[in-house]
Amino acid sequence: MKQSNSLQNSEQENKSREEFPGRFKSVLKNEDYNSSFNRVETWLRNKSVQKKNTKNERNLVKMKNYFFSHKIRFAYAVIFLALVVAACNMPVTTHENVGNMITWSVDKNNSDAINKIEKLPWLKTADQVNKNGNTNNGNEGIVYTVIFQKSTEEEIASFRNDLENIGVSSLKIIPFNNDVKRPLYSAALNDFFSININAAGMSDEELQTEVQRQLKEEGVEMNIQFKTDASGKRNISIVNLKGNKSNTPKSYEINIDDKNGQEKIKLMQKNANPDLFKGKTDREIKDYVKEKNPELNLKDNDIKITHENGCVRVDVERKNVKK
Amino acid sequence: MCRNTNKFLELLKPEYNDAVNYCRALCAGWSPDEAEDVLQQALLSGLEGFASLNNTEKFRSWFFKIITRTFYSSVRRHFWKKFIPMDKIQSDIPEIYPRSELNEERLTIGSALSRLSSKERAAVLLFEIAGFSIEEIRQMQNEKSTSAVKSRLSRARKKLRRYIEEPENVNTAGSKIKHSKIPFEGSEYSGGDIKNETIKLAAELRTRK
Repeated sequence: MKQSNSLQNSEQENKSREEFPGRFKSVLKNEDYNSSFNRVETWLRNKSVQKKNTKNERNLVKMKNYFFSHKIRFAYAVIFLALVVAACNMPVTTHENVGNMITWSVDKNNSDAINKIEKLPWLKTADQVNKNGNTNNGNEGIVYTVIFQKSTEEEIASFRNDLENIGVSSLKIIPFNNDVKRPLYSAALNDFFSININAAGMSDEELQTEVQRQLKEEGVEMNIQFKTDASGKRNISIVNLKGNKSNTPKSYEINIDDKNGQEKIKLMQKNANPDLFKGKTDREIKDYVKEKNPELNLKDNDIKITHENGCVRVDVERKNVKK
Repeated sequence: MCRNTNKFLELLKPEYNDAVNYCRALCAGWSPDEAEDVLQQALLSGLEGFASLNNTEKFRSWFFKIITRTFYSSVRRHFWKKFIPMDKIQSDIPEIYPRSELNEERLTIGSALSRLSSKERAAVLLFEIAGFSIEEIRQMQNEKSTSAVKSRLSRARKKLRRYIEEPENVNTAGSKIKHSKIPFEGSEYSGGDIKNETIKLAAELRTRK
Protein backbone atom coordinates (compact mmCIF):
# COMPACT_ATOMS: atom_id res chain seq x y z
CA MET A 1 0.00 0.00 0.00
CA LYS A 2 1.27 3.39 -0.95
CA GLN A 3 2.07 5.72 1.93
CA SER A 4 0.72 9.22 1.93
CA ASN A 5 3.14 12.06 1.18
CA SER A 6 2.90 13.56 4.64
CA LEU A 7 3.66 10.20 6.25
CA GLN A 8 6.66 9.72 4.00
CA ASN A 9 7.89 13.23 4.78
CA SER A 10 7.49 12.68 8.49
CA GLU A 11 9.43 9.39 8.29
CA GLN A 12 12.15 11.13 6.31
CA GLU A 13 12.35 13.87 8.89
CA ASN A 14 12.54 11.43 11.77
CA LYS A 15 15.28 9.49 10.00
CA SER A 16 17.32 12.62 9.39
CA ARG A 17 16.85 13.69 13.00
CA GLU A 18 18.42 10.42 14.07
CA GLU A 19 21.47 11.20 11.96
CA PHE A 20 22.33 14.13 14.23
CA PRO A 21 24.48 12.90 17.11
CA GLY A 22 22.10 12.43 20.02
CA ARG A 23 24.62 13.33 22.67
CA PHE A 24 25.19 16.72 21.13
CA LYS A 25 21.49 17.27 20.86
CA SER A 26 21.14 16.66 24.57
CA VAL A 27 24.10 18.93 25.28
CA LEU A 28 22.48 21.78 23.42
CA LYS A 29 18.93 21.15 24.51
CA ASN A 30 19.10 20.05 28.10
CA GLU A 31 20.72 23.05 29.72
CA ASP A 32 18.17 24.27 32.26
CA TYR A 33 17.57 28.00 32.21
CA ASN A 34 14.13 27.91 33.83
CA SER A 35 15.51 29.41 37.02
CA SER A 36 16.14 32.67 35.21
CA PHE A 37 12.56 33.01 33.99
CA ASN A 38 11.35 34.94 37.04
CA ARG A 39 14.11 37.52 36.66
CA VAL A 40 13.39 37.88 32.96
CA GLU A 41 9.68 38.16 33.69
CA THR A 42 10.27 41.04 36.11
CA TRP A 43 12.59 42.73 33.66
CA LEU A 44 10.05 42.39 30.84
CA ARG A 45 7.28 43.83 33.01
CA ASN A 46 9.47 46.82 33.89
CA LYS A 47 10.32 47.30 30.24
CA SER A 48 6.66 47.20 29.36
CA VAL A 49 5.86 49.93 31.88
CA GLN A 50 8.86 52.01 30.76
CA LYS A 51 7.79 51.72 27.16
CA LYS A 52 4.30 52.87 28.02
CA ASN A 53 5.71 55.96 29.75
CA THR A 54 8.16 56.91 27.03
CA LYS A 55 5.82 56.23 24.13
CA ASN A 56 4.69 59.81 23.98
CA GLU A 57 8.18 61.17 23.48
CA ARG A 58 8.12 63.23 20.32
CA ASN A 59 9.81 61.73 17.28
CA LEU A 60 11.49 65.07 16.61
CA VAL A 61 13.19 64.96 19.99
CA LYS A 62 14.28 61.38 19.33
CA MET A 63 15.76 62.37 16.00
CA LYS A 64 17.49 65.37 17.53
CA ASN A 65 19.04 63.20 20.22
CA TYR A 66 20.04 60.64 17.62
CA PHE A 67 21.82 63.23 15.46
CA PHE A 68 23.57 64.88 18.37
CA SER A 69 24.81 61.60 19.79
CA HIS A 70 26.40 60.60 16.47
CA LYS A 71 27.88 63.90 15.37
CA ILE A 72 31.23 62.51 14.22
CA ARG A 73 29.77 59.65 12.26
CA PHE A 74 27.33 61.96 10.56
CA ALA A 75 30.17 64.28 9.69
CA TYR A 76 31.98 61.36 8.06
CA ALA A 77 28.83 60.40 6.18
CA VAL A 78 28.38 63.97 4.90
CA ILE A 79 32.03 64.20 3.83
CA PHE A 80 31.71 60.86 2.05
CA LEU A 81 28.58 62.00 0.21
CA ALA A 82 30.22 65.29 -0.73
CA LEU A 83 33.17 63.37 -2.16
CA VAL A 84 30.85 61.15 -4.19
CA VAL A 85 28.99 64.19 -5.57
CA ALA A 86 32.28 65.93 -6.36
CA ALA A 87 33.61 62.82 -8.09
CA CYS A 88 30.46 62.56 -10.19
CA ASN A 89 30.81 66.16 -11.28
CA MET A 90 34.50 65.85 -12.11
CA PRO A 91 34.82 66.64 -15.81
CA VAL A 92 36.17 63.79 -17.88
CA THR A 93 37.30 63.94 -21.48
CA THR A 94 35.71 61.53 -23.90
CA HIS A 95 36.54 61.05 -27.56
CA GLU A 96 33.52 61.13 -29.79
CA ASN A 97 33.40 60.41 -33.46
CA VAL A 98 31.41 63.22 -35.06
CA GLY A 99 31.84 62.13 -38.65
CA ASN A 100 34.10 60.70 -41.33
CA MET A 101 35.67 62.13 -44.44
CA ILE A 102 36.33 59.86 -47.43
CA THR A 103 38.62 61.04 -50.20
CA TRP A 104 39.56 59.22 -53.37
CA SER A 105 40.64 60.08 -56.88
CA VAL A 106 39.73 58.63 -60.19
CA ASP A 107 41.16 59.07 -63.70
CA LYS A 108 39.23 61.76 -65.54
CA ASN A 109 39.16 59.60 -68.67
CA ASN A 110 37.81 56.55 -66.80
CA SER A 111 34.18 57.32 -67.61
CA ASP A 112 33.04 53.86 -66.53
CA ALA A 113 34.39 54.36 -63.00
CA ILE A 114 33.01 57.90 -62.84
CA ASN A 115 29.54 56.64 -63.88
CA LYS A 116 29.64 53.93 -61.25
CA ILE A 117 30.68 56.45 -58.61
CA GLU A 118 27.90 58.83 -59.56
CA LYS A 119 25.39 56.01 -59.27
CA LEU A 120 26.46 55.03 -55.76
CA PRO A 121 23.30 55.38 -53.65
CA TRP A 122 25.08 56.47 -50.48
CA LEU A 123 26.79 59.37 -52.25
CA LYS A 124 23.42 61.14 -52.39
CA THR A 125 22.96 60.76 -48.64
CA ALA A 126 26.34 62.31 -47.83
CA ASP A 127 26.32 65.57 -45.90
CA GLN A 128 28.85 67.14 -48.22
CA VAL A 129 30.33 66.11 -51.62
CA ASN A 130 33.16 67.98 -53.36
CA LYS A 131 34.67 67.18 -56.74
CA ASN A 132 37.95 68.85 -57.72
CA GLY A 133 40.14 68.45 -60.76
CA ASN A 134 43.70 67.36 -60.11
CA THR A 135 46.79 66.63 -62.16
CA ASN A 136 49.21 64.06 -60.90
CA ASN A 137 52.33 63.15 -62.95
CA GLY A 138 50.62 64.54 -66.02
CA ASN A 139 47.46 62.46 -65.49
CA GLU A 140 44.27 64.41 -65.08
CA GLY A 141 41.99 63.12 -62.39
CA ILE A 142 39.03 63.99 -60.21
CA VAL A 143 39.40 64.07 -56.43
CA TYR A 144 36.23 63.32 -54.50
CA THR A 145 35.85 64.53 -50.93
CA VAL A 146 32.77 63.23 -49.14
CA ILE A 147 31.77 63.99 -45.55
CA PHE A 148 29.39 61.86 -43.52
CA GLN A 149 28.11 62.84 -40.11
CA LYS A 150 26.77 60.20 -37.75
CA SER A 151 27.91 57.26 -39.81
CA THR A 152 28.75 53.89 -38.32
CA GLU A 153 31.97 51.99 -38.79
CA GLU A 154 30.06 49.32 -40.70
CA GLU A 155 28.63 51.86 -43.13
CA ILE A 156 32.04 53.40 -43.77
CA ALA A 157 33.51 49.92 -44.32
CA SER A 158 30.80 49.11 -46.87
CA PHE A 159 31.44 52.44 -48.70
CA ARG A 160 35.10 51.56 -48.81
CA ASN A 161 34.28 48.15 -50.32
CA ASP A 162 32.12 49.77 -53.00
CA LEU A 163 34.92 52.17 -53.94
CA GLU A 164 37.59 49.48 -53.98
CA ASN A 165 35.39 47.39 -56.28
CA ILE A 166 35.13 50.33 -58.67
CA GLY A 167 38.91 50.65 -58.63
CA VAL A 168 39.50 54.16 -57.36
CA SER A 169 42.95 55.29 -56.25
CA SER A 170 44.27 57.19 -53.21
CA LEU A 171 41.34 56.08 -51.08
CA LYS A 172 41.55 57.61 -47.62
CA ILE A 173 39.15 57.60 -44.70
CA ILE A 174 39.70 60.31 -42.12
CA PRO A 175 37.60 60.11 -38.95
CA PHE A 176 36.66 63.38 -37.22
CA ASN A 177 37.15 62.91 -33.54
CA ASN A 178 36.09 65.47 -31.05
CA ASP A 179 37.23 65.66 -27.45
CA VAL A 180 34.23 66.36 -25.27
CA LYS A 181 34.52 67.38 -21.64
CA ARG A 182 31.54 66.49 -19.54
CA PRO A 183 30.85 65.49 -15.93
CA LEU A 184 31.40 61.84 -15.10
CA TYR A 185 27.70 61.11 -14.56
CA SER A 186 26.84 62.75 -17.87
CA ALA A 187 29.48 60.66 -19.65
CA ALA A 188 28.00 57.55 -18.07
CA LEU A 189 24.52 58.55 -19.15
CA ASN A 190 25.63 59.51 -22.65
CA ASP A 191 24.76 56.04 -23.88
CA PHE A 192 21.27 56.30 -22.52
CA PHE A 193 18.68 58.16 -24.52
CA SER A 194 15.19 58.92 -23.34
CA ILE A 195 12.35 60.83 -24.95
CA ASN A 196 9.25 61.96 -23.12
CA ILE A 197 6.09 62.88 -24.97
CA ASN A 198 2.77 64.05 -23.65
CA ALA A 199 0.40 62.49 -26.15
CA ALA A 200 -2.81 63.83 -24.67
CA GLY A 201 -4.83 65.45 -27.44
CA MET A 202 -2.45 64.29 -30.16
CA SER A 203 -3.67 62.34 -33.13
CA ASP A 204 -1.95 59.08 -34.14
CA GLU A 205 -0.19 60.82 -37.02
CA GLU A 206 0.99 63.73 -34.88
CA LEU A 207 2.31 61.37 -32.23
CA GLN A 208 4.02 59.22 -34.83
CA THR A 209 5.68 62.25 -36.43
CA GLU A 210 6.79 63.63 -33.06
CA VAL A 211 8.30 60.34 -31.87
CA GLN A 212 10.08 59.76 -35.15
CA ARG A 213 11.36 63.32 -35.26
CA GLN A 214 12.92 62.97 -31.81
CA LEU A 215 14.31 59.57 -32.66
CA LYS A 216 15.81 60.85 -35.91
CA GLU A 217 17.53 63.69 -34.04
CA GLU A 218 19.35 61.00 -32.10
CA GLY A 219 20.19 59.14 -35.30
CA VAL A 220 17.77 56.29 -34.68
CA GLU A 221 15.92 54.88 -37.65
CA MET A 222 12.79 53.42 -36.22
CA ASN A 223 9.44 53.13 -37.90
CA ILE A 224 6.96 53.34 -35.11
CA GLN A 225 3.22 53.33 -35.80
CA PHE A 226 0.24 54.29 -33.68
CA LYS A 227 -3.31 53.25 -34.50
CA THR A 228 -6.38 53.92 -32.42
CA ASP A 229 -9.01 51.22 -32.74
CA ALA A 230 -12.78 51.56 -32.49
CA SER A 231 -12.75 51.12 -28.71
CA GLY A 232 -10.33 54.03 -28.29
CA LYS A 233 -7.28 51.93 -27.48
CA ARG A 234 -4.07 53.14 -29.00
CA ASN A 235 -1.98 50.33 -30.47
CA ILE A 236 1.74 50.80 -30.77
CA SER A 237 3.80 48.80 -33.20
CA ILE A 238 7.46 49.06 -34.01
CA VAL A 239 7.65 48.16 -37.68
CA ASN A 240 11.32 48.50 -38.36
CA LEU A 241 14.24 49.14 -36.06
CA LYS A 242 17.61 49.70 -37.63
CA GLY A 243 19.35 51.02 -34.55
CA ASN A 244 21.36 54.15 -33.99
CA LYS A 245 24.09 55.31 -36.29
CA SER A 246 26.74 55.88 -33.69
CA ASN A 247 29.41 53.35 -33.02
CA THR A 248 28.47 52.61 -29.45
CA PRO A 249 25.39 50.67 -28.42
CA LYS A 250 22.67 52.73 -26.80
CA SER A 251 19.60 52.07 -24.77
CA TYR A 252 16.40 53.91 -25.52
CA GLU A 253 13.48 54.70 -23.36
CA ILE A 254 10.33 56.22 -24.83
CA ASN A 255 7.77 57.48 -22.33
CA ILE A 256 4.43 58.37 -23.85
CA ASP A 257 1.87 59.98 -21.59
CA ASP A 258 -1.56 59.44 -23.02
CA LYS A 259 -4.91 60.47 -21.64
CA ASN A 260 -5.49 56.80 -20.78
CA GLY A 261 -2.24 56.18 -18.97
CA GLN A 262 1.47 55.90 -19.64
CA GLU A 263 3.30 53.62 -22.02
CA LYS A 264 6.96 52.95 -21.52
CA ILE A 265 8.96 51.38 -24.31
CA LYS A 266 12.42 50.23 -23.45
CA LEU A 267 14.83 49.14 -26.12
CA MET A 268 18.32 47.93 -25.57
CA GLN A 269 20.96 47.68 -28.23
CA LYS A 270 23.85 45.33 -27.76
CA ASN A 271 26.87 44.45 -29.83
CA ALA A 272 25.95 41.09 -31.32
CA ASN A 273 28.20 38.25 -32.29
CA PRO A 274 27.82 38.01 -36.10
CA ASP A 275 28.27 34.23 -35.96
CA LEU A 276 25.67 33.78 -33.23
CA PHE A 277 23.06 32.21 -35.49
CA LYS A 278 25.46 30.70 -38.01
CA GLY A 279 24.37 27.19 -38.96
CA LYS A 280 21.38 27.31 -36.63
CA THR A 281 17.90 26.32 -37.73
CA ASP A 282 14.95 28.66 -37.24
CA ARG A 283 13.72 26.38 -34.46
CA GLU A 284 17.07 26.68 -32.62
CA ILE A 285 17.12 30.48 -33.09
CA LYS A 286 13.59 30.80 -31.71
CA ASP A 287 14.48 28.64 -28.72
CA TYR A 288 17.58 30.76 -28.12
CA VAL A 289 15.60 34.03 -28.24
CA LYS A 290 12.96 32.63 -25.87
CA GLU A 291 15.60 31.35 -23.47
CA LYS A 292 17.40 34.72 -23.43
CA ASN A 293 14.17 36.68 -22.79
CA PRO A 294 12.19 34.59 -20.32
CA GLU A 295 10.45 37.67 -18.87
CA LEU A 296 8.75 38.37 -22.24
CA ASN A 297 7.03 34.99 -22.27
CA LEU A 298 7.43 34.81 -26.05
CA LYS A 299 5.55 32.47 -28.30
CA ASP A 300 6.82 31.10 -31.59
CA ASN A 301 4.53 33.48 -33.50
CA ASP A 302 6.10 36.50 -31.81
CA ILE A 303 9.53 35.76 -33.27
CA LYS A 304 10.05 36.41 -36.97
CA ILE A 305 13.21 35.24 -38.65
CA THR A 306 14.30 36.48 -42.05
CA HIS A 307 17.38 35.45 -43.99
CA GLU A 308 18.91 38.22 -46.12
CA ASN A 309 22.15 37.77 -48.06
CA GLY A 310 23.45 35.21 -45.60
CA CYS A 311 22.50 37.41 -42.64
CA VAL A 312 19.89 36.42 -40.12
CA ARG A 313 17.46 39.05 -38.91
CA VAL A 314 15.39 38.30 -35.84
CA ASP A 315 12.37 40.48 -35.08
CA VAL A 316 10.33 40.12 -31.98
CA GLU A 317 6.84 41.47 -32.49
CA ARG A 318 4.54 41.77 -29.57
CA LYS A 319 1.42 43.82 -29.65
CA ASN A 320 1.47 45.99 -26.60
CA VAL A 321 -1.95 47.42 -26.02
CA LYS A 322 -2.50 49.93 -23.29
CA LYS A 323 -5.79 51.42 -22.41
CA MET B 1 -0.30 46.70 27.05
CA CYS B 2 -0.38 45.17 30.50
CA ARG B 3 -2.84 42.50 29.44
CA ASN B 4 -0.66 41.78 26.44
CA THR B 5 2.42 41.48 28.65
CA ASN B 6 0.65 39.00 30.91
CA LYS B 7 -0.51 36.92 27.97
CA PHE B 8 2.91 37.10 26.36
CA LEU B 9 4.63 35.91 29.53
CA GLU B 10 2.06 33.21 30.01
CA LEU B 11 2.74 31.82 26.54
CA LEU B 12 6.46 32.37 26.87
CA LYS B 13 6.88 30.37 30.07
CA PRO B 14 6.56 26.84 28.57
CA GLU B 15 8.78 27.79 25.62
CA TYR B 16 11.30 29.80 27.63
CA ASN B 17 13.89 27.11 28.24
CA ASP B 18 13.90 25.91 24.62
CA ALA B 19 14.06 29.49 23.35
CA VAL B 20 16.98 30.39 25.61
CA ASN B 21 18.81 27.18 24.66
CA TYR B 22 18.15 27.86 20.99
CA CYS B 23 19.40 31.43 21.26
CA ARG B 24 22.60 30.33 23.00
CA ALA B 25 23.28 27.64 20.40
CA LEU B 26 22.52 30.10 17.63
CA CYS B 27 25.05 32.52 19.06
CA ALA B 28 27.69 29.80 19.31
CA GLY B 29 31.14 31.32 19.34
CA TRP B 30 29.81 34.59 20.70
CA SER B 31 30.23 35.72 24.26
CA PRO B 32 27.34 35.21 26.75
CA ASP B 33 26.80 38.99 26.69
CA GLU B 34 26.22 38.96 22.96
CA ALA B 35 23.85 36.01 23.20
CA GLU B 36 21.93 37.87 25.91
CA ASP B 37 21.75 40.95 23.67
CA VAL B 38 20.13 38.87 20.95
CA LEU B 39 17.71 37.31 23.44
CA GLN B 40 16.89 40.71 24.91
CA GLN B 41 16.15 42.16 21.48
CA ALA B 42 14.02 39.14 20.58
CA LEU B 43 12.03 39.36 23.81
CA LEU B 44 11.37 43.06 23.36
CA SER B 45 10.43 42.63 19.70
CA GLY B 46 8.16 39.76 20.71
CA LEU B 47 6.49 41.82 23.41
CA GLU B 48 6.07 44.78 21.07
CA GLY B 49 4.68 42.76 18.21
CA PHE B 50 2.61 40.38 20.30
CA ALA B 51 -0.61 42.21 19.49
CA SER B 52 -0.14 41.26 15.84
CA LEU B 53 -0.11 37.54 16.65
CA ASN B 54 -3.58 36.36 15.74
CA ASN B 55 -3.25 32.69 16.53
CA THR B 56 -1.68 32.11 19.93
CA GLU B 57 -1.27 28.41 19.09
CA LYS B 58 1.50 29.46 16.76
CA PHE B 59 3.33 31.35 19.51
CA ARG B 60 6.28 28.93 19.56
CA SER B 61 7.10 29.14 15.86
CA TRP B 62 6.39 32.90 15.88
CA PHE B 63 8.77 33.54 18.75
CA PHE B 64 11.51 31.29 17.38
CA LYS B 65 11.20 33.16 14.10
CA ILE B 66 11.75 36.43 15.98
CA ILE B 67 14.86 35.03 17.66
CA THR B 68 16.18 33.83 14.30
CA ARG B 69 15.58 37.20 12.65
CA THR B 70 17.11 39.08 15.55
CA PHE B 71 20.17 36.89 15.22
CA TYR B 72 20.41 37.64 11.49
CA SER B 73 20.13 41.37 12.25
CA SER B 74 22.91 41.10 14.81
CA VAL B 75 25.14 39.44 12.23
CA ARG B 76 24.36 42.22 9.74
CA ARG B 77 24.80 44.87 12.42
CA HIS B 78 28.49 44.03 12.69
CA PHE B 79 28.92 44.94 9.03
CA TRP B 80 26.83 48.10 8.89
CA LYS B 81 28.24 49.49 12.11
CA LYS B 82 31.41 50.30 10.20
CA PHE B 83 29.57 52.72 7.90
CA ILE B 84 26.40 53.95 9.58
CA PRO B 85 26.01 55.36 13.07
CA MET B 86 23.81 52.92 14.95
CA ASP B 87 22.44 53.00 18.41
CA LYS B 88 24.15 50.76 20.90
CA ILE B 89 22.01 48.07 22.40
CA GLN B 90 21.35 49.07 25.99
CA SER B 91 21.94 45.71 27.57
CA ASP B 92 20.03 45.54 30.84
CA ILE B 93 18.57 42.05 30.70
CA PRO B 94 19.37 39.99 33.82
CA GLU B 95 22.23 37.55 33.49
CA ILE B 96 20.99 34.31 31.95
CA TYR B 97 23.95 32.47 30.50
CA PRO B 98 26.76 31.28 32.77
CA ARG B 99 30.03 33.11 32.21
CA SER B 100 32.20 30.02 32.49
CA GLU B 101 31.22 27.10 30.34
CA LEU B 102 33.20 24.12 31.49
CA ASN B 103 31.54 21.45 29.41
CA GLU B 104 34.07 20.31 26.84
CA GLU B 105 31.45 18.64 24.68
CA ARG B 106 29.48 21.85 24.56
CA LEU B 107 32.58 23.74 23.52
CA THR B 108 33.26 21.30 20.70
CA ILE B 109 29.78 21.53 19.27
CA GLY B 110 29.64 25.28 19.87
CA SER B 111 32.86 25.69 17.99
CA ALA B 112 31.55 23.53 15.13
CA LEU B 113 28.28 25.47 15.02
CA SER B 114 30.09 28.80 14.93
CA ARG B 115 31.72 27.74 11.68
CA LEU B 116 28.38 27.29 9.91
CA SER B 117 26.76 30.18 8.08
CA SER B 118 23.99 31.92 10.02
CA LYS B 119 21.23 30.40 7.87
CA GLU B 120 22.69 26.89 8.06
CA ARG B 121 23.09 27.23 11.80
CA ALA B 122 19.52 28.42 12.27
CA ALA B 123 18.13 25.66 10.03
CA VAL B 124 19.97 22.85 11.79
CA LEU B 125 19.09 24.13 15.26
CA LEU B 126 15.45 24.76 14.45
CA PHE B 127 15.19 21.23 13.11
CA GLU B 128 17.32 19.32 15.59
CA ILE B 129 16.94 21.27 18.80
CA ALA B 130 13.63 23.10 18.52
CA GLY B 131 12.00 20.22 16.66
CA PHE B 132 10.34 22.22 13.91
CA SER B 133 9.32 20.54 10.68
CA ILE B 134 10.99 21.35 7.38
CA GLU B 135 7.86 23.16 6.23
CA GLU B 136 7.89 25.36 9.36
CA ILE B 137 11.58 26.13 8.83
CA ARG B 138 10.84 27.01 5.21
CA GLN B 139 8.31 29.57 6.42
CA MET B 140 10.65 30.92 9.08
CA GLN B 141 13.52 31.31 6.64
CA ASN B 142 11.29 32.70 3.87
CA GLU B 143 12.33 30.04 1.39
CA LYS B 144 10.24 29.26 -1.67
CA SER B 145 10.62 25.49 -1.51
CA THR B 146 11.28 22.87 1.12
CA SER B 147 14.05 21.44 -1.04
CA ALA B 148 16.14 24.54 -0.32
CA VAL B 149 15.78 23.88 3.42
CA LYS B 150 16.47 20.16 2.96
CA SER B 151 19.69 20.78 1.08
CA ARG B 152 20.72 23.43 3.60
CA LEU B 153 20.13 20.97 6.42
CA SER B 154 22.01 18.23 4.67
CA ARG B 155 24.94 20.56 3.99
CA ALA B 156 24.94 21.82 7.55
CA ARG B 157 24.86 18.29 8.99
CA LYS B 158 27.75 17.17 6.85
CA LYS B 159 29.79 20.17 7.87
CA LEU B 160 28.91 19.72 11.53
CA ARG B 161 29.86 16.05 11.46
CA ARG B 162 33.17 16.92 9.87
CA TYR B 163 33.93 19.69 12.35
CA ILE B 164 32.94 17.50 15.31
CA GLU B 165 34.76 14.38 14.14
CA GLU B 166 37.93 16.27 13.34
CA PRO B 167 38.26 18.51 16.38
CA GLU B 168 41.95 19.05 15.75
CA ASN B 169 40.98 21.18 12.75
CA VAL B 170 38.61 23.16 14.87
CA ASN B 171 40.84 23.42 17.87
CA THR B 172 43.96 24.69 16.18
CA ALA B 173 44.55 28.08 17.63
CA GLY B 174 44.72 29.90 14.30
CA SER B 175 41.52 28.38 13.04
CA LYS B 176 39.59 29.21 16.15
CA ILE B 177 40.76 32.78 16.15
CA LYS B 178 39.78 33.04 12.52
CA HIS B 179 36.29 31.74 13.03
CA SER B 180 35.43 33.16 16.38
CA LYS B 181 33.17 36.19 16.47
CA ILE B 182 34.37 39.61 17.49
CA PRO B 183 32.38 40.87 20.45
CA PHE B 184 29.87 43.66 19.93
CA GLU B 185 31.17 47.14 20.21
CA GLY B 186 30.43 48.44 23.62
CA SER B 187 29.50 45.12 25.14
CA GLU B 188 31.44 44.23 28.20
CA TYR B 189 33.66 41.39 27.17
CA SER B 190 33.56 39.11 30.13
CA GLY B 191 36.47 36.98 29.06
CA GLY B 192 34.26 33.89 29.11
CA ASP B 193 35.39 32.77 25.70
CA ILE B 194 39.05 33.23 26.50
CA LYS B 195 38.51 31.16 29.58
CA ASN B 196 36.78 28.50 27.54
CA GLU B 197 39.58 28.49 25.04
CA THR B 198 42.12 27.99 27.83
CA ILE B 199 40.11 25.14 29.26
CA LYS B 200 39.83 23.58 25.84
CA LEU B 201 43.55 23.93 25.23
CA ALA B 202 44.30 22.37 28.62
CA ALA B 203 41.99 19.45 27.82
CA GLU B 204 43.69 18.94 24.50
CA LEU B 205 47.13 18.91 26.13
CA ARG B 206 45.87 16.35 28.66
CA THR B 207 44.70 14.04 25.86
CA ARG B 208 48.04 14.37 24.09
CA LYS B 209 49.88 13.34 27.25
